[in-house]
Amino acid sequence: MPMDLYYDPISPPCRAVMLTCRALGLAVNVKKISLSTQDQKKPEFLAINPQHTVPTIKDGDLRIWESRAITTYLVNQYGKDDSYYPKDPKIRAKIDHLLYFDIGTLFGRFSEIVYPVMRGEVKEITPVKLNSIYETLGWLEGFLEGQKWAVGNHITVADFSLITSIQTLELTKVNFKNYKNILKWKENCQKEMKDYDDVCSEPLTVIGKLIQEKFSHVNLWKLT
Amino acid sequence: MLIDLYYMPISPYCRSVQLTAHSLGVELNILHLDLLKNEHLQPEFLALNPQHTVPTFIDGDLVLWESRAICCYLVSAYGKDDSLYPKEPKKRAFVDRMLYFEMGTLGVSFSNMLFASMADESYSPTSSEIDKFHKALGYLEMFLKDHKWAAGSQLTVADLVLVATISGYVKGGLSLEKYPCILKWFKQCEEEIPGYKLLNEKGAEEAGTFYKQKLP
Repeated sequence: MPMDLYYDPISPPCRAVMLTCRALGLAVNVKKISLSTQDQKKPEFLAINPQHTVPTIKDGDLRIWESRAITTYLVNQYGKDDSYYPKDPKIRAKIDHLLYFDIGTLFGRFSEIVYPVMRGEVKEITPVKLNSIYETLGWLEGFLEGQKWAVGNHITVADFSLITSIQTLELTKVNFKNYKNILKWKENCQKEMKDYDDVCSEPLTVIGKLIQEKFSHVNLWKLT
Repeated sequence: MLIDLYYMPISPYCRSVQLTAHSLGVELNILHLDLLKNEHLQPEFLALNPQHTVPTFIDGDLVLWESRAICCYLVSAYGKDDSLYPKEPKKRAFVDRMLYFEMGTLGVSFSNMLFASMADESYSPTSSEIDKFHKALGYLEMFLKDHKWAAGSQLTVADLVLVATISGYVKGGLSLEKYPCILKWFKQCEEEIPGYKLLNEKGAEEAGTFYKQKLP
């Protein structure tokens, strides 16, 4: 029986899980949770996930949230092989490093800065916060030096998490022009990740419009 | 061959790696770095880790940072068994979920306030920021209701990571009175985690003192 995936496509971590499912050829029963109408706070969903976050999966008796725990679980449990999350401890450690980099630094800094603007709580992005975004991109640029993919010679779950953060950050008009490695890697993701356009195009259009509207009074996305 | 760990005792992330290594009987070559004196910004360290964070871990050709990745690596590479980080996918997913919770929900709700106060002496946490921290503790309280350890019936790296973080808050004045499940789990950690007193107690006290100064 396919697992249930509680999902809102405008959430970057949700898209990372979906890209992983498509790569693994996994059928999922998508249950739409609309964050804009606060579906995640409804009792039926709270019973599944009291932390009321998406993505969440229900696979038999297992209920898991945290997208990076989900993507790695999916490969461990359902992967025909381990290519998306190799079992070798050193390779796996490098992937884990980038998953934690994504939650704690890349997506972490992005969401701390951008979401309050999206919620109308702040009207500006200070130079210090802006610089923290560019600092993070500089690090990712370094990690991608000489690499086609985030780790090793093929796509891994690290790429799925990182690309959904980067593609969303790009909508805020952050200037990516000096980050040649990131741009090349992003192009590779778009060309080679299974169902990339199907999973990402429409949500990114929706998010792009929301961001344009909220950021029309915020003008600090300049490369320093 | 030695395994190097760049380390600062005040950092819970460093202590969780030490606790993990100790549980596995792995010896670490501790290299002290004082971030408060900007020692992490020296060129030699930046060459190793451009993100200049601790812990940074070197095992042969593997240079690794992000403490939770290091803890999981240690179990995978050196564990005589997988009890601290079960291989079975569903059990592992639960441990991973708690590791990401510790970083992305609990830890960040506190460290945002701490870093804001370090950047600006006049900063005071807003009630919304304090609520967010207590909300995260509330989730942990809920998660600990049904089992002995953070990710089930046995001790895992999730407990080592969580206790390193929470012990600093407790020494910094956080009362666990409203969180009886966390309190019970915390006492259990103090008593049952191998090497807890030796490896975590002093660093947690230093962290607590630091937090009290910055967030009175």
